[in-house]
Amino acid sequence: MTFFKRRPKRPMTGDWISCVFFSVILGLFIIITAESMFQKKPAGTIEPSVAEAHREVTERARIIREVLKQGHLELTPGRHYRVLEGEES
Amino acid sequence: MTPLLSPKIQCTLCPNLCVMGDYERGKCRVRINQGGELFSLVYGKPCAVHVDPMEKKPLYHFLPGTGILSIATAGCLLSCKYCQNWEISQAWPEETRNLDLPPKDVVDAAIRSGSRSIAYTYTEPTVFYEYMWDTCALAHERGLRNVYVTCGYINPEPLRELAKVMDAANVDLKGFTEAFYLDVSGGHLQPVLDAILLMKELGMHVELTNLIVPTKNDDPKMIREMSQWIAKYAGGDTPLHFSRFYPNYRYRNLPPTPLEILVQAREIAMEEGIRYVYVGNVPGSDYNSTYCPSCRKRLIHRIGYEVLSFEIDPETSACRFCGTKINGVWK
Repeated sequence: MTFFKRRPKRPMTGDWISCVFFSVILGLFIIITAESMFQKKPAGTIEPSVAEAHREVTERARIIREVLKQGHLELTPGRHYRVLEGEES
Repeated sequence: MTPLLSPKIQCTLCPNLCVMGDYERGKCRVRINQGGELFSLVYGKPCAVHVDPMEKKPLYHFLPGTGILSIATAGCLLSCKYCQNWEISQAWPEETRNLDLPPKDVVDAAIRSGSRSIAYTYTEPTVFYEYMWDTCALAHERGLRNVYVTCGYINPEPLRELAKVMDAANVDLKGFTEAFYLDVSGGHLQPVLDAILLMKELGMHVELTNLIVPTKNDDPKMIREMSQWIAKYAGGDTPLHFSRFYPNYRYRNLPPTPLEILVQAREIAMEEGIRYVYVGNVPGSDYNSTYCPSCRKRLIHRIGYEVLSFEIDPETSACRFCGTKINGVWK
């Protein structure tokens, strides 16, 4: 690693090139990481998997509403039974 | 003094005779006690509605080649481990996606579809008894026939009442030992046998189906005993269908019924005097067709559910070749 070696008696051109190169790489890395960490997502967008789950839940809710509207658990008097007198629930 | 809690009730529709406390349901999941009264939760709420060929029920001696509007609600009286419709038969009515179809709409739909009859099928229709009865009565008024595809697990009194509006039945005789019924279906054999005989006595056209499950009810000795009982009590002219099992529900570990076993069962039944024995769930089999028991000629040629030829005089119910009477409803 020439970058960390002190060679005062020799020209330092190579060290400077290495320094700039690594600085640029490091800078890019910091910028990309920071952007992904602090980026504010525009309102209304949802990750694809969440959107899919949301659609599924909405569809189920719609079906349940539809079924309830139809009177899904309507009670109709039944035939063929007897009351067991004296036997409370 | 008014009791604090509602009385228990006992449903007398089927031999399970469920005793229900307040807000409790029977084994069928669709009949409930509320305030000491019994209610049906599935009246007018079928979860399956289709137009099928009559041969799919299977009924081979009742209006062959015609379409039949078929309905079912959730629920069943039994819990067969090989049930082919377990997704709806073993479901609560809240779990199925139901239509809103009162009896009048069922009859209208049947007429619109060109069906000549309505089948109460797929699950066990006894669980939606009130809905079935009212639909049957309306169907008769509009000139349609009714078909009851059942396990035969029903008590005599409701069956007598039902027979007033029901024309035909296919009873699934699942096996011929009490042990089989207890272990595989969660019911008893004798009430089914009683129901078959009562249906015949009440004038319904009856056909029987026996689904043969490998290693469970494929014993030739049991098949012979069952055939002997049918020939002796129900009559040798009762059509019998040996149906092929395909892995399903809790018996996914078993293989489909080998064809040789079905053919052997048919031979046993014919040896015991049953004249019309079919092999079901095997498309293309020669044993799907109806043959005259006297001249042995083919009277109804079937391939799958299709009827290709018909050689019975519908007016006289007789074989067109030799004049032998063939049991069935042909017009």
